[in-house]
Amino acid sequence: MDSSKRHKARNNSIWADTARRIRKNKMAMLSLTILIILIICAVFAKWIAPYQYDAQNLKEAFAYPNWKHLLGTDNLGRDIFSRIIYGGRISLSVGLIAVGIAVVIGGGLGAIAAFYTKADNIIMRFMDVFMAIPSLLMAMAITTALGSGTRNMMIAIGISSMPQYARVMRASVLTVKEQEFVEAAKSIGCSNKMMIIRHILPNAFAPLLVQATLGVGNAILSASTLSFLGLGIQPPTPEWGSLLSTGRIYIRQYWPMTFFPGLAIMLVVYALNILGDGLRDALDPKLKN
Amino acid sequence: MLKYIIKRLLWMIPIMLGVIIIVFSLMYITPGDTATILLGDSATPQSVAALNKKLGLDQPYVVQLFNYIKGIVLHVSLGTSYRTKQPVLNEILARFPNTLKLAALAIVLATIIGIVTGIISAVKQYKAADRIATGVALFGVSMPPFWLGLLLILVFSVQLNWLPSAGVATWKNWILPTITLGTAVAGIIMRMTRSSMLDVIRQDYIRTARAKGQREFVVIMKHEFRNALIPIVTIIGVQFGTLMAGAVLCENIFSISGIGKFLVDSINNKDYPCVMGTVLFVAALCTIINLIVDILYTFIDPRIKSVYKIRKRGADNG
Repeated sequence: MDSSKRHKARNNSIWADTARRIRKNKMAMLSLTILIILIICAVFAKWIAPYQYDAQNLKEAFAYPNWKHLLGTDNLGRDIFSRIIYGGRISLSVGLIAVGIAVVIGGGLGAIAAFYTKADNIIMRFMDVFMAIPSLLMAMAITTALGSGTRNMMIAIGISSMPQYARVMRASVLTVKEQEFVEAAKSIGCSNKMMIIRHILPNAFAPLLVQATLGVGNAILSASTLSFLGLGIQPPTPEWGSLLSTGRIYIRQYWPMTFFPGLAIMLVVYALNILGDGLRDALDPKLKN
Repeated sequence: MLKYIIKRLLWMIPIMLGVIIIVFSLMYITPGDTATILLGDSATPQSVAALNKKLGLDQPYVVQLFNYIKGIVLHVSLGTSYRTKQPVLNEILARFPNTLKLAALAIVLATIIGIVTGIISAVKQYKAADRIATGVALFGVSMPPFWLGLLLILVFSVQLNWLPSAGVATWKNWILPTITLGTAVAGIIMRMTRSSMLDVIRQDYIRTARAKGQREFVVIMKHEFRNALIPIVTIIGVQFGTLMAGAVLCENIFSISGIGKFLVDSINNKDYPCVMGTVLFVAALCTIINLIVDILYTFIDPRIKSVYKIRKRGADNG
């Protein structure tokens, strides 16, 4: 096969097809752009945010949005816009890492369950037990046990959402395992390890990716919920949920403290949901509807 | 069918046992000595040791777990609250009606809105109504419920002064919590109704129904919606867990004395028997709801019932 043909063959892979299809989905691309902007803002918060997140100016407390403070100031005169930008750092990283934990543990267990029939029953029944507890309640119980804080919240949300990933991965691997190309790989003497790493996992990963994209949004929502209830990240750390929780006390007198952090959460979760839907449609156009 | 229900009921035992073990273990590893929490920092080591002995907390993990399970199985007891000294189950049952009322109102609202908009969206696929409905549904799903609750309070309680923002004194008190709790679920039901209807809409029997001159409304409701109902019922059943979790938030925002508020108060007061009891109670409830949903399938779709019959006949013959 000459190089141009090889190049063409590579471009016809599932991922290249997906990228091509998702580029045509305007809403998904808009969401991706919003997410990239937010990630850039979070990473470079130090340079982008006009003020330090903890810079107080009591003389300017409860200022409504103006040119100096685009989204107003909070009860201690801190710039809400800067706090939301810094808060994005925490909320986005909690979302990503919590889902990372769920994907690695849940996806790993799901794959093991699909490969090894003996382990299947044990693992999946264990997941059934986990699924019997609503994930937010599970996360609350875990944060009670581990204590509040960013790291513990990531673990709590990751573990509580793990069963969904195990189920998706198991179903996906079971489907891929029966495909003809796996049989072909087996027939040419491909080792088990090679088959799993090279052939099965990359092809079984697509549904997990969709689930993970939607899951990041849910994880951000769960994290902000825990912080809102006082069980997650505590003030003065500017996590979006904890910003909202602080603003709640002043809602009757001053709305920007509650309104803008909530808007930030909704924007990110909305964008992630649209991107997740777009990815699902792009990965399997038959499912579109 | 009866065999299936009995099998599912029996399967609940190991599931609940697993849930008890997980929740108990989490509370067991929780930092801080319970007796010290109860007696305060000024307590003497002797009084701490005496209380630990009285509560059985000086025993090994396995013994404590066994005693807890024994209490549930033999005495239907979830322990005693550290705070109020009342049985945990009584505390939960006293608050449960409010939570159940909130969840029931929210699911009714969500189901009506979700199904109606879902059907319209599917019938008018890719038209303006569909795009608006799907966009709004996704907003509903993406919106933090506590934020929506606070915004509703801001508009309807603070600015317009139309509705109360706390308590359960009148029917008006339930409006804002119901909308807060029902919105996300309505979005989920709408999305599921739409996709499920779209799966059915292009089937041959729909074309046949239209070809024989059936009225459009009858085609939609009797042929399309009826056949699209299984995934919709599943999603409504599954949402019960989401509603219970949402109730935790709603009850805290709107100061409703339900089990959600009770759970958060118990966590904040380190009243671990209450935390454990509430989580177990909700988990048991969710498992039972899932079982009811599975049984409901057979009434919605007689084909499922016939599968059981065929299996049974096969087993009898074999």
